[in-house]
Amino acid sequence: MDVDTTVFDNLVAEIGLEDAQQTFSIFISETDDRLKRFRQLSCDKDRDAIKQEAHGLKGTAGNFGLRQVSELARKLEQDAATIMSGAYEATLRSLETSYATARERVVKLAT
Amino acid sequence: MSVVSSHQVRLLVVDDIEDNRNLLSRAFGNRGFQTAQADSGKAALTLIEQQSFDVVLLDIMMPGMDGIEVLKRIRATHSSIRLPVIMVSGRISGMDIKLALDLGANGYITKPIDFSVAFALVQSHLAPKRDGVTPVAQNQSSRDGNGGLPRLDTAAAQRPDRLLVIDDDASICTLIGKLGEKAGFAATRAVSLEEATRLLRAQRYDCVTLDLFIGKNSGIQVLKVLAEMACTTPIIVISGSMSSMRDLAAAIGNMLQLNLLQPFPKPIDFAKLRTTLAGVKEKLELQRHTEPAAGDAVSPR
Repeated sequence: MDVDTTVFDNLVAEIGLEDAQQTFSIFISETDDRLKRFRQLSCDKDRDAIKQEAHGLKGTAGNFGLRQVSELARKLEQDAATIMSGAYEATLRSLETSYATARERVVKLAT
Repeated sequence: MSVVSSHQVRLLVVDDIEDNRNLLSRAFGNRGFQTAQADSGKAALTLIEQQSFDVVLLDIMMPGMDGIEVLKRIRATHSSIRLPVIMVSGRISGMDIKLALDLGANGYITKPIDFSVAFALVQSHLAPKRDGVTPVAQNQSSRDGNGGLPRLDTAAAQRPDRLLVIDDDASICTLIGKLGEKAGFAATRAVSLEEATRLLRAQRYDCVTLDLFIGKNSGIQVLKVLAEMACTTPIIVISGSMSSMRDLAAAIGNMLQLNLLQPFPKPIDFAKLRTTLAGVKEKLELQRHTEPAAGDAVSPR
């Protein structure tokens, strides 16, 4: 499952629909920017930054129910110190594909 | 500041990305605004020429004619009072903000958008328009004749309990802030070590939530700052990283005096965190009733 939609329902139960929508929309915008930043990073010289961004994505995606994205980010964080450019490129493609599918569902929840 | 009725206020949302336009239109539509959308600078200028708007939310990064060029052209025909323009962008450098303001923008919102800030900013620029005064005059009149300075809190007991949320992810920061507000706190958000340190040194907080992994694990640095201040404020540590928790455990010897509550792993259990925050709030209120002289509750010793 790309998105655990019960996360949104739980958040609505805690803070209300409008605030939950706002929080999700911030997450979407933040993640769009984060994926763009991954593309600007090089695994030759930006390993710390890749690890840091992957850690952030793991946490936020997990928190907003994007389990697959979170898992891919967890793996990238774990491998950041040694990952080679080919594998980095492949991981980014997987992340982008997984996020694109999940994003569509999240946008529907947030609007 | 006078409150402006948002009924029949016409808002134009300009952004080349449909999702962004829809999110903003929906947020303002829910507050009673009448919204229109333009997907390019050219389309925006055509709409402004053909129709009457009260305020424009204008994205900067657009293909073709960017928001800065659109702003220049709007200002050639509409003053900043006649048609307030709020710039929206992911760019956050001071130079970008200065350029937009120099060219006549009324305000600047950075992405990710905090809708409550966006709404407040739009309202603040609609008020002078309706009242026929300039934004400067309107700002001064709202400051209680205190030499233009905001009024200082003199009675700690009258202030709301303050929660400081420290997390470098804006979405998590907002989420925890909202949970805190539901628990009765006034929440302030800090997204970097520097901002957190500055806020903690400047003001007392009644509760702190802290992501241990901000920047390069600098959440530990925040705890060191709090330990130096001999702070007894309840602190809820939040972390998605076991290595951060191990670092915390290693560092804890020097921080035994800190009032660390049960840490929260990520993903955060929303209900549990709100309950914990509500529990802290309840204790603060109880403390206030039993120790009225203490007033400011928990804080540096």
